[in-house]
Amino acid sequence: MIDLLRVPGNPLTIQSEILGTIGQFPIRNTETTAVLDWIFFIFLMLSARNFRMQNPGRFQIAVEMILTIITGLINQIVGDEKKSKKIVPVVTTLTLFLLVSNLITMLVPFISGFTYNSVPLFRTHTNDFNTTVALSFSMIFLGQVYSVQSEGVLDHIFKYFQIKQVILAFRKSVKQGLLAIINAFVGLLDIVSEFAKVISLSLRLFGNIFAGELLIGVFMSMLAVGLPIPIMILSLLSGVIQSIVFGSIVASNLSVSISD
Amino acid sequence: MDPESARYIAKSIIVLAMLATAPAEASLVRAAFEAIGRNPKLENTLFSKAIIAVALVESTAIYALVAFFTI
Repeated sequence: MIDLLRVPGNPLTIQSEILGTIGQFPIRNTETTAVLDWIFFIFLMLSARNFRMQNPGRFQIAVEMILTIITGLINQIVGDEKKSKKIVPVVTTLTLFLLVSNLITMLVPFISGFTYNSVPLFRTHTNDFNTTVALSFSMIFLGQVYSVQSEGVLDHIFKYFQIKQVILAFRKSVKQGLLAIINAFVGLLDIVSEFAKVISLSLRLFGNIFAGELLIGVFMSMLAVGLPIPIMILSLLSGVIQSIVFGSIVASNLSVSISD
Repeated sequence: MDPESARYIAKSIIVLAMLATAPAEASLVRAAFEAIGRNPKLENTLFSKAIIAVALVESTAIYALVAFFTI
């Protein structure tokens, strides 16, 4: 009897599964969810044309409320009026994209039930390490681009290899020169920290979504009635929080990289 | 030592990363609640910030979990 209430399945793998191939190009089950994301955003784009100032509909009010919360948070983090003009549009788009792709398999009903050749057809878009690495790498790269734009190429390179600062400090006095050498080593360490940022940012988002889905699977194999619901609510919460955390870390990174 | 048993030992070592995460989260939440207790007006702003901070602290355990499944 109790076996009827269990849903044992294959344990979730780190890599997304391959559904089929077009030529030599494999179609993975995160890509099918990406198509769903596009459909949602195209729907949002088309419906935004009907948004009006007078008599806003319910949908418009909901969208504007979410956008106001996100932009308010990012403005709070950046703090500076001039910087936030550059940063807020990018990071708001990023956060909204992550929010939708974290939640879309939870909020669209029955979506996780479809299978194709006994492989689940839809898997959360951010539950693939490639997605999160691509996002975080492009955001750290954007920070470098902003830094070059605001300071120039040479000053940006001297931020990591502090040859100029050491020479200037030795002209003043020997003691300041020795201190500048220590700072130069710290500057070299910054190169490592840029790569560490990419890894930590991407692993955090991927790991949280992965852990949520894994826990749901484990509880499904114990008892499928009622027991997974609190875990699902927790995973919804962590999906929302992680998208905000990703956005706020990227915003603080970008605001540091733009000099005044 | 055969590779399979080495894998299990490595997995058990990685789980130890979660030992440090729980006290860290506890001290963070405690500090947040103390601040709210001193100044209840700040509850709305402090609570959301505390949740974001907890999510940041939690990431250490999450790295361990990802490493646990990749080994």
